[in-house]
Amino acid sequence: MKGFLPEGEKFLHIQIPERFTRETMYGLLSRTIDNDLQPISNEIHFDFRNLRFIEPTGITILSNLFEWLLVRNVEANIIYPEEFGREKYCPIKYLDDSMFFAEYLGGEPLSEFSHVRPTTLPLQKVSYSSSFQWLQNVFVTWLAGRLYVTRESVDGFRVCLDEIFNNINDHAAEDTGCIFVQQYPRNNEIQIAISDFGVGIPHNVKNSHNPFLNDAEALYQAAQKGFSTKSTPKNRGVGLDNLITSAVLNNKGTVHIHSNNGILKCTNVNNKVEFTPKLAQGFYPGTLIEITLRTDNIENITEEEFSWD
Amino acid sequence: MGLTNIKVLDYVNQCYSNSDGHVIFDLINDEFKAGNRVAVYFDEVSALNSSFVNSAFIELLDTYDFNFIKSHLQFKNSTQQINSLIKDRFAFEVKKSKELVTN
Repeated sequence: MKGFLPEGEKFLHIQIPERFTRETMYGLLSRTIDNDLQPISNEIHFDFRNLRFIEPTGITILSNLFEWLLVRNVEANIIYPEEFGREKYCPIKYLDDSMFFAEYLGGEPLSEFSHVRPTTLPLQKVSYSSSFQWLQNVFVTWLAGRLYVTRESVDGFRVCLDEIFNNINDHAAEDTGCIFVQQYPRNNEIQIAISDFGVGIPHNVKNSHNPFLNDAEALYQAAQKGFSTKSTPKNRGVGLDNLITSAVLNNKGTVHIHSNNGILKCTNVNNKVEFTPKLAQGFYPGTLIEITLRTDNIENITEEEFSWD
Repeated sequence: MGLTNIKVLDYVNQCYSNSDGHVIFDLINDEFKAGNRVAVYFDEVSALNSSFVNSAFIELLDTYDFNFIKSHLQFKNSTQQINSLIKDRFAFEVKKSKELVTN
């Protein structure tokens, strides 16, 4: 991809919203993808010049969208401001530090002053076949180092991602996930955003079980323990449940899942998982999972004698 | 009836996928068929995911009843996360199959 300014009307020009979050992404997506789930144009110019704020999950969303367009042979171009701030709250600087522009503008960040922040695990595309090594060698190493704890102490976090990658491998047509991780040391939190550009969870649920469910209902169904689309014979329908149990029940974090026209929010209320399904304002191609985990809730991994009782 | 020790990382590089789990399943199944009990050792493994547990252990329920599994299978050098996931998965699958029988 190459960034340049638009000169004519032969292409679709799309402004990235001032505030880009998983709530505001739907306007951008609906201007990019038509009702038949096809790209609206073969050439799209994404204009970042009005962007004032982007949340970490927004980086995963943009990456997922660009990957979705690339596999459909769309020429997606980036228009960026000629000058941007060097302060850490500048969204263009944040995108540049996160290696977003390096990924989609040919290998180099926009600015020579950009660098990966210590609190960021920059944007990565991870295939299933390399996911175990990535989790062990990159994710666990980085997180244990950031939190000054042993590698074993963050294994609960790693298992959350194990479940997502195994889900991607079982269900998505493409076995690659875009992943981005941000630490918030002052809040004792890390936020993990991971997305695939497969057909989406509601699509699979409606195909295999009930075509009359809406996408929010289908997402809620998929998160219930033992519910399986049986996309593979090994699938027993506990991957999403184990992710939610680990993140929400054990860690007291939160999980948001956006897939097709559905959104599912999972929060801990009085030590129980509360599910809040709702219909989205638009369509998400694939599945986006945002996990917020408490870093002050890390349980020490202790050996324990096994007993069936 | 003998007791066979299986140290998982002697047979798989990691406990991650359904395929990894299936390697362990085959080892246990062979020992059960030979009339032996099995102790599975989790040295250097501190946490498991559900795909591995399903393929390595839960699929034994397709062939053996739960009481047989409890009396022939034990886990050693495990952690609270490993124990909790294995017991939770067995409890759920046993309850589900009982509901299928009674309904």
